[in-house]
Amino acid sequence: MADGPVVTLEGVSRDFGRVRALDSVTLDIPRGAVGLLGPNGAGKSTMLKVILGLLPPGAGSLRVLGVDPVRDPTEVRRRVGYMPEQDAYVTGLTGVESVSFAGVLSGLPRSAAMQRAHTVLNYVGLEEVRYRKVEEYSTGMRQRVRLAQALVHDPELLFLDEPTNGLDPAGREEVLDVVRDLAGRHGKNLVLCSHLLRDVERTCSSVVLLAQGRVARRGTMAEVRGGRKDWLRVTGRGDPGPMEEALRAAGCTVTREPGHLLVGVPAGTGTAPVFRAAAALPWDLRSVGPEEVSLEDVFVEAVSAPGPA
Amino acid sequence: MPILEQGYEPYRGPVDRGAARFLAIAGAAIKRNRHRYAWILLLLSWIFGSSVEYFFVFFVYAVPAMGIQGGPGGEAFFQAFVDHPNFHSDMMASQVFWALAMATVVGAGEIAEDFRTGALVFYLGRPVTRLDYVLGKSAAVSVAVLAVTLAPTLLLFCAQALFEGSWTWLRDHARVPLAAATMSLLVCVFASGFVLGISSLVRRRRWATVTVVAVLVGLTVVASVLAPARAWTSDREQEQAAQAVRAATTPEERKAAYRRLSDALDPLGSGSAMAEWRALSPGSLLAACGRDLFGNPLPGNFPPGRHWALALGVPVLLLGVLARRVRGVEVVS
Repeated sequence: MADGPVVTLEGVSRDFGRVRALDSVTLDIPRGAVGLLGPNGAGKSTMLKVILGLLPPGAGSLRVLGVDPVRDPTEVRRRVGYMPEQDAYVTGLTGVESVSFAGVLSGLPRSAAMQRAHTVLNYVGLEEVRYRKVEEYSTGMRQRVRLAQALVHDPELLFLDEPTNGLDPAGREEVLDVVRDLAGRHGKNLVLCSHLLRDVERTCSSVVLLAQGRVARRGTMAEVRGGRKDWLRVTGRGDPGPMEEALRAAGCTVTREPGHLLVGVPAGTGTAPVFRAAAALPWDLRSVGPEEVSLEDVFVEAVSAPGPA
Repeated sequence: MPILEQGYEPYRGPVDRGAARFLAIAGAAIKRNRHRYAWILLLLSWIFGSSVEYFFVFFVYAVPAMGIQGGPGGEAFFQAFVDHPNFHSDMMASQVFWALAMATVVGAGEIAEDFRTGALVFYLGRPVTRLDYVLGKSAAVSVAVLAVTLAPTLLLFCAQALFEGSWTWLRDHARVPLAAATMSLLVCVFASGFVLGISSLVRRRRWATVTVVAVLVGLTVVASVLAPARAWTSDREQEQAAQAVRAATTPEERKAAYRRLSDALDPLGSGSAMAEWRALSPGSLLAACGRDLFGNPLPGNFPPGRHWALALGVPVLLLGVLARRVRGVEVVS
């Protein structure tokens, strides 16, 4: 289990009436920081519920840190930390009491939980307000206290559901710093569910993209982004019209974008069609390089045409 | 605000895998309530209000023991109540009011506030089951209820036993501790189910408290209107009992007369034609169950069995409502 995946799903399906929320999902979530992406209704929440043992799968099997959440859901929730998206606090408790209470519920002895609460609140930057009631906290502070509650029992795997939701840019940066620190310096395994693709791009090493209840893309960030390796970004000086025509005549797909041409070359031909066309034309070729695909591009492409990875 | 000032430290200490998480939930609920003014005020009111029980014991046992002569007939008056077979069950019945008040103050906002602030997600995202949650909240209410039902009754019983100092008295009243414990348990179930069930339908502590109080008061008022308190016993019977007290010359006669008067004032005895509607009032309902548990007869015109069906059915129904509401919470939204 030391190097294996933290979560394994095999043919997991889940229906709600006539709606199939998860459709035979087979997936290994690797160690490290993994982004879980998908549009609304893609099945992210259902997958999280199944993984946390809050919902049994209709079909298939799964293991979370080697434990079957269907048979032992509380053991799974003891070993993982879950930071919910929405407000989740007990009224009347101060920050430190709230985090300590979360620790006690996760199985820590009372004194150890209190000690951990102080440590974790320091870590997330709430040490100055730890004795204030949670209901008096700002949105950003509540977000951090939720992170502290998820961390207090030192879980082996963290699920962070939209951790930067509702935060201002500075607050967002600070929370992402913590997440990056956890994954990078402390080797914490975490799954980051977010609609903010940039957050995932900057935080995670791997990504799983769900669409219509199925895994549309998965892999390391480089692998997922490299899905369009036959596209080239071509820049030059002069009228690009004749160049476009020459490239199309060579069987390429060409899109004119501000400042450059986006050229889809036939598989296996590499940059040769571009150089041949440029050599035959009075057009100054300045640069040819692989098109850098953002996660957003992959997301849009995967969501519009989902298919098994 | 500095962040990451101190690095993250892994936890290497012990972890409890036990299943008694509901105790932590109950503990937190009790701890949260102990600083509330409403609770402190109620506690003081209860101590003041229920001390009347101890006055009976004081006048019957402590006054003669101190060699102080009571007022004319005073001793016999209190003795008649203390010796009455319904003494303990009626004393517990009088605590039902405080028990319901305690349950309302402690429990009414518990579920409502948790729904409002998403605390259920806080609980259920951890190794806590929905059953743990319901048990924990019920336990918090039960502690408050037991404090005002079982504790004073057992204390009273122990004080009486010490003053009586006889095995015969203990043998005759051997049923009292067990009956008191069972009655307290029943009140716990009723109060928890009633208060938490209603609380789960409202989303703010204040409104939950208002709703619970309105339902309790409303039921009691309806019961009192349909089976008025003044008609519990006939005026003639009551007058005759009072005359007997005035006419009594010896202590024995006076004691018997007071006993007759206490029978005539029995809150469950009824001269009302619609006595069965008394069961609408939670206090009378639980008092009737208490009579059964303490082995004391119910008035003949009180419908048999119906009070048990209501006393157990209502909380079970409302706990079902609570369980359904808790089941409907989406931990991952």
